[in-house]
Amino acid sequence: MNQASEKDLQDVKRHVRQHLIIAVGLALGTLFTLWTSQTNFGSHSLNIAITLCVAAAQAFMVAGFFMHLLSEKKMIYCFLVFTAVFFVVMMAITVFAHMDTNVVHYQQ
Amino acid sequence: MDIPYTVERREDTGLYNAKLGVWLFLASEVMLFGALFSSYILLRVGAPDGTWPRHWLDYKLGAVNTIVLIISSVTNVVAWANLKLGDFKKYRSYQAITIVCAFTFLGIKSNEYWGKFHHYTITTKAGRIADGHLQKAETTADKVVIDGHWVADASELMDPKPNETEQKIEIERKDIAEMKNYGPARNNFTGLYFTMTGLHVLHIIGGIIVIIAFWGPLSGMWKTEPERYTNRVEVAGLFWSFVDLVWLFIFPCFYLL
Amino acid sequence: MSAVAHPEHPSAGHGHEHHDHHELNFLQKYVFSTDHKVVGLQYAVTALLFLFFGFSLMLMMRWQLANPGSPIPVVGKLLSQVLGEDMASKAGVMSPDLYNSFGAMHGTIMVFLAIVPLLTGAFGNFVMPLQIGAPDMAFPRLNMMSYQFYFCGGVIMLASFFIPGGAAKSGWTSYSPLATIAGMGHVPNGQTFWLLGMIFLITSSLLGSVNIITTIIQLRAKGLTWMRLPFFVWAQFVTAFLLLLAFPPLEAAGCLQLMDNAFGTSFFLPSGLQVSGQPLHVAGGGSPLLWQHLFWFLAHPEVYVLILPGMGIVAEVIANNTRKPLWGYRSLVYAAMLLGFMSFVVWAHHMYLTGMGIRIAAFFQTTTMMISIPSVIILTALLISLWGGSMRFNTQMLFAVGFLPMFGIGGLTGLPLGFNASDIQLHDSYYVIGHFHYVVAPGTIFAIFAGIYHWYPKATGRFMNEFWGKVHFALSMLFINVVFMPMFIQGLAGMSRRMYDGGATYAEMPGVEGLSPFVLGLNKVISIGAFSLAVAQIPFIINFFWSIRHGRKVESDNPWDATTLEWQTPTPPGHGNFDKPIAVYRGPYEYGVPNHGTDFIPQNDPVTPEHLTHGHPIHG
Repeated sequence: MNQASEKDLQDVKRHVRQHLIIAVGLALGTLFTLWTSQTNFGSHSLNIAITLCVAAAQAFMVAGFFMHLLSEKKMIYCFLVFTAVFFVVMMAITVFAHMDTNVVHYQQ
Repeated sequence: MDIPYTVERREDTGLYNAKLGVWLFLASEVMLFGALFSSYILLRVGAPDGTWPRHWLDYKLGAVNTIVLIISSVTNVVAWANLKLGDFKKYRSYQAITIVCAFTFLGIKSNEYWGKFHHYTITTKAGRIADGHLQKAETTADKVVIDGHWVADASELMDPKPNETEQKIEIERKDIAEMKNYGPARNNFTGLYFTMTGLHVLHIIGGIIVIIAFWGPLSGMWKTEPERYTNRVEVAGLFWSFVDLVWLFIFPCFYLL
Repeated sequence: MSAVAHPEHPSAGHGHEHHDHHELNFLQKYVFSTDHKVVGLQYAVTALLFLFFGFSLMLMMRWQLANPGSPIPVVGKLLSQVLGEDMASKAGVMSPDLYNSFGAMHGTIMVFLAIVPLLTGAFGNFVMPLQIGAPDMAFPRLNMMSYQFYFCGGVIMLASFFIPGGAAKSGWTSYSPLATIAGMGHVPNGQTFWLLGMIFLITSSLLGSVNIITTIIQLRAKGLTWMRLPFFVWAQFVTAFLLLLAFPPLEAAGCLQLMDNAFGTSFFLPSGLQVSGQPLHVAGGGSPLLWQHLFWFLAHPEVYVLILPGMGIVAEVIANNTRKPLWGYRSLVYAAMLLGFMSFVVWAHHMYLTGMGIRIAAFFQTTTMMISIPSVIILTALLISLWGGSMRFNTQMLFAVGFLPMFGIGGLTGLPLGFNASDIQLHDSYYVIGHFHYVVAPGTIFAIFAGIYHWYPKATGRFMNEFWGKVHFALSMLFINVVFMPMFIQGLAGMSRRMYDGGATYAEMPGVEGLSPFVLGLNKVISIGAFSLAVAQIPFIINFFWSIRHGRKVESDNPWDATTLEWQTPTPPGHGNFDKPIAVYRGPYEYGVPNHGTDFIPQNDPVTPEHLTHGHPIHG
């Protein structure tokens, strides 16, 4: 079987600790969004913005650490970041296209 | 000739084949769920005021499911880390927790789905509207019994009050003009909820089947080709973390906002 | 190949099933094979059958267009017996519903079951691993599965013709609400089958593209750097990315439309819809435009999927038969990448008439104009590559050179469609049909023919007959223009597409402006062209099958004196492709080499004449 050196052992133990911290962070993020959803900040849009920011941060942590994207070669995660950004731009264009229209879908 | 880089990493990419393959697949999954999320945004933004419901889902159950998936994700990664260290027993224990978490998630989800399909809004011929959960035991061919409340106006259903007192309501079937449940056909919110969480559930099922397969029947590869086995566990884990990631967006979109 | 040994596990399988240690049974060798060459041939045969089937659907439609209301000869009565009298009358006259079914399925089958599987599944699978010096694809079992999914999807699509209500009849574009309403009388209906079939086909595509991309990135031979790749491989690489990233939104949309059709949701059904005077009992609030956005988000990159590998094939054939390097290799590569990227931001030019605002329409018009630039760069580079060449006009070269002006016409006629002002007149007219068929039919299909004639000797060890190949080319070239050129005239005159009677309803009447007898008469010309085109394929079909056994045998592994790696294998290549690991020393088009003895140097030939500056020894 794999003969792990002492250094490997320490390395992996450090990573495991890191993962546990991230997991706790994710759970806290979830509880935070629970709290914000119950609290009225005046505008519902603000709620949406905060919640989505927290969700994005959680996604970054899962992707970066659990999926160890940040330990891959730079080119790999740069490409994925580019895809994510590109996708957001696509969605923005579609939403913009939708808003820029005179068509009514709903008959009053 | 053998296919190279199935186990060892290629120098310029730093990847073995399956890892690149799974990341490419995940990129396509981002586009799949992304398209569904953008449909959600478009339909919600385009919905006239008062037609998009809120608070139709139990956020507490949703939060529990979120925590359960987070736990399963971390135990999955720790299991793989132990495998890299050569500790097969620890890998099995941690992965077992992952599997239990997955089934917990599925259990809670099934309960939620069941609840939605048995939650009815009944409009009587006289125009009164009742809303509540079907009591199967007492419902007969002549009358429908629900545990719920009467509503003054249909618009109240779009954002129900949290602490409504529930009472038993009996309605004769011949008095019913319309009876609809909170299934996918109810409106676009439930339609999207069922479609997106349904697709997500299919991914959970697919992922956990693979994880169970490696944990159980296919674990013999650990003895013959441990490095390749570890890689397979890693690749399955990447998929699993991604499924968790998607849920981290589904939860706020449907349960909180 | 990797020089790294595996000291701990000398006897383990190294992650690859080595089937040459034991005999494979028939099923393992021919049905469930994981060898990329077998999978490639499976794709080729299945896709060619679908191509033929889609072509036949069109022939029946063309009969109807030329002679509306008259019974279809030979098959008319059969249609009636098999599909029922609501589809075709007892006498054999095609009903409007059947016409619409054939139209929708012709498009679907040609795009998703014939052309893309031929380009990526057949040529991509068979040729690409050979051209990069790999023993197989990165994931052989995934490869096999992607073929099985494709096959199942195809079966589902074919089966849909025979269920009550017939096949999908809402266009290959399957627009809601028609797509949901049209099939409402039957459960399940052809539209549901279409959606299920699409889900299988999309899955097949996704698995295939993951395989292609991973193979190209990871399994290139030693010394085969990115800028030494044959352009065909670059084309497959970009195409695979398009398929990977663009198909999932259609899969999502397909799921949503399936929910609409089968589970009563209304993602794409607006409120207040009335069907036959009765209000539709759905929740409403949906958006038909959402379907269009999601559909075209795939379908636009899809058309670049349809053309790029074809351009790759043409590039290989031209370089080989002009005996000189391609002009502007780097421009070709960057243009292909730019084309792929830009193809994602032009989709709404299919939606100019949906009431989009001016700003967003201007955005898409701009990107559409911009995307013509890389297309033109590629076409120009291929054209200039002909200059000064020592031309060898075998059949594949004829098709490849014929591709160039045909694609030119197709591309140029796209310009008035890309401008939203002129598109107001031309949208949904026969002009559009002429435009896209020019790109795909005398465009891509000619490239496919070129590829078949070119690589047939490598796959079978025999040449196809040259004389009949040239006959095939000449007749196809002539008749395909007879079919599609008049469509531009019809479109400019205002003739709409998808009219089952060929526009007869809108014929000119005294005092009323309509479709002139000349324009309507073109229907007959086009149909005659189509039937003649069908006849022109007969020599090809016979040639294809006859040459497997009786074609002239090749005398070497490299009958065309080509430089790329696929010609360095035994003929046909065995399992594992190369006898020993192969290394690459130079670029892909070292033709016209002076003072060398032969006029070309294969990529894996280490010989470096002193005065050649662009071949250099291995570097890792």
